[in-house]
Amino acid sequence: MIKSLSLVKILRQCSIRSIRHFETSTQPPPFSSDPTSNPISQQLPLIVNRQLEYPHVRYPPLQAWLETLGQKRDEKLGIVDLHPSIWQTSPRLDILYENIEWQKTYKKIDWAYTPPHHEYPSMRGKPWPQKGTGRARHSSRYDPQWKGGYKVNGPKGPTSFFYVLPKEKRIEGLCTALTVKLHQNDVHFVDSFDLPTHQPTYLQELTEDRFWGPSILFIDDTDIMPHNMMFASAKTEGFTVMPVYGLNVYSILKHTTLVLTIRALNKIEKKLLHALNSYDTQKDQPAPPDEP
Amino acid sequence: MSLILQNILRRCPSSLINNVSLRLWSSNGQFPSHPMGTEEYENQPRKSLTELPDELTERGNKPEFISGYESTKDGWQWVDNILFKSEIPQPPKHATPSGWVPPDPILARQWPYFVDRDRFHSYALYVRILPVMLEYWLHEQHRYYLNIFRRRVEYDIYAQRTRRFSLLELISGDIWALDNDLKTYLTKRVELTADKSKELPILSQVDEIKRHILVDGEYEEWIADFLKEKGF
Repeated sequence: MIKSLSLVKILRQCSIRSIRHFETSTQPPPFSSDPTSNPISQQLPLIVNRQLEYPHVRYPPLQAWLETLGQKRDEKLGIVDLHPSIWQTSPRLDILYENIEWQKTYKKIDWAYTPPHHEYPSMRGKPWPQKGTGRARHSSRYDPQWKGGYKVNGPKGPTSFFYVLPKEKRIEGLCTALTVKLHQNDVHFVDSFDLPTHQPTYLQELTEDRFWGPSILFIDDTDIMPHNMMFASAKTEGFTVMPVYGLNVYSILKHTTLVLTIRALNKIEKKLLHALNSYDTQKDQPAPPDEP
Repeated sequence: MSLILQNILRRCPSSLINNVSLRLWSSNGQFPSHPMGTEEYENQPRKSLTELPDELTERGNKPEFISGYESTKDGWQWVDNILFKSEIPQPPKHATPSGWVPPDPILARQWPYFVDRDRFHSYALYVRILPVMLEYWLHEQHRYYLNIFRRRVEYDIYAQRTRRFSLLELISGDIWALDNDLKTYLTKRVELTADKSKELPILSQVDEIKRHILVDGEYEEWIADFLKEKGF
C-alpha cells in the first residue's frame, strides 16, 4: 500500500504525458509495480486521465482514490480527478433542506374529506319541538355543533402538495450533498461493479473490513447491473443499487456511504457541468438521450 | 329547411343529392360554391407551399416574383446565427470597451476569499429594494448600532425613496475578511468624493450559509471596481 503511494507520487511529478487512459491501458507503465501476487491483471498504479470541462478559475481539481470490489484486499488502483464546481462547493445547507422537503412533500396527497351539508341526510326535520321538552332548541340533527354533524370549512377532497423546485436549487442541492459526503470521507470511487462471486457474504465482509458503513448507495451509469452485484445487494439490508438518473439528495444523505463507478462519475459530471455552465430555456432543453 | 323541401329530399334518390352540382342551400349559411372541403378535392396529392393551388390563380397563371429566386441549401450559417443556443460562448481574454474585465487567476489566489462569476461571466452583484421602515423602541435609542442604522434610514426618508441594498453572491473562503476589506474600500471611496451628504456609515450583513454580503446603499459600481482590483 505504501509502496504504491510512493509510486503514485513519483508518477505525478513526472511529465503528465506519460499518463495513460484507463480504458485503453495495454502497455506496461514506465515504473514497474511491485511483483506482489494480486488477482488484478493490469499493472498498477492507474491514474485515470479524466479531462475536466469548464475548468475552475481558482480551484484545481480534487483527487480521490480509485478502489475496486474485485478483491477483498483494500488495494487502491489509482487516483481520480474531481471537478471543484461539484465536489468543492460552499455547502448551502438551506438549499439542502429545501431539496429534502421537496422530495418529501411533492408526492404527498391529503385524502381528508369532510362532506358538506348538502351531502348529509336531509335536514328537514327538527329533532324535537321548539318548546315543551326540557332540551336545547335545535333545527336539525346534523348541524355543526352536533356530534356526527357536517363541517362547514373542513378539508375538501384530495389536495395535492405537488410542486417542482427550481432547477438551479436542485442542482445546487446535489452539488452540496456530494461535497459534504466527499469531505466527510463517505464517498468511494470504484472501477466497476463486477464481483467475483454472487454470495452476499463476500460484499458484506468486504464493506465491513473497509468500514464502509451500514447503508451504502451504489451508483452505476445504467440501470442494468451485473448479476452478482444485484444478487448481493438484494440480499443485504442497507445496500441500494441505483442508476445515475435516480440520484437524489435524500438518498445521498440517507445512506452512510456512496460508491460510484467511474462511468457514473463521468455521466454525473457531464450533466451537472452542462447545467451549471449553460442556459437552457424550458423550450430549448436538450432531448432526452436514447440510453437511460 | 321548410317542410316542402324536406318532402322533396325524401323522395329524391341519394345519388342525386350527393352530386356536387345539386347542393341545396340552407336558410342560414351558405354552402360552399367551391369543391374545397370535399373528399375528392382534399385527397389529391399535396402541393408544395411555393405552388399555389390553381383555383386561386387566374386560370393557371402562377404568380411570378419580380427578382426571381432559386432554392439552395447554402447559407445555413446565417440561420444558425439567429437560432438559440444553450451553450454560452467563451468571452475574450482581454478587457472590452463596455468595461468588462476577465478574471485574473494569479491575482485572485492571493486573497483568503474568492468571488466567483456566474455562468455568463459577470459579477454576481444585484440590487435589492425594500420599503422604508423605521421601527425601533424609544427606550433603545441610546444603542450605537440602532443610531447609525437610523441615520441610514432617515437619509432614505429624506431622499423620498425606497431602501436600496447591494448584494454580492458566490463568495467562498473567509467571508468576514472580504467584508472588512470591502467596508474599508467603500469608506475610502466615500471620503474621496468629498461630499458631506454622502458620509454615511457603511453597514453590511454577512450570511455565512447563503454565502452573500448585503451592503446598505447603492454601491454596485464601487463594489465592481473593488472586485476588478482584486482580480475576481
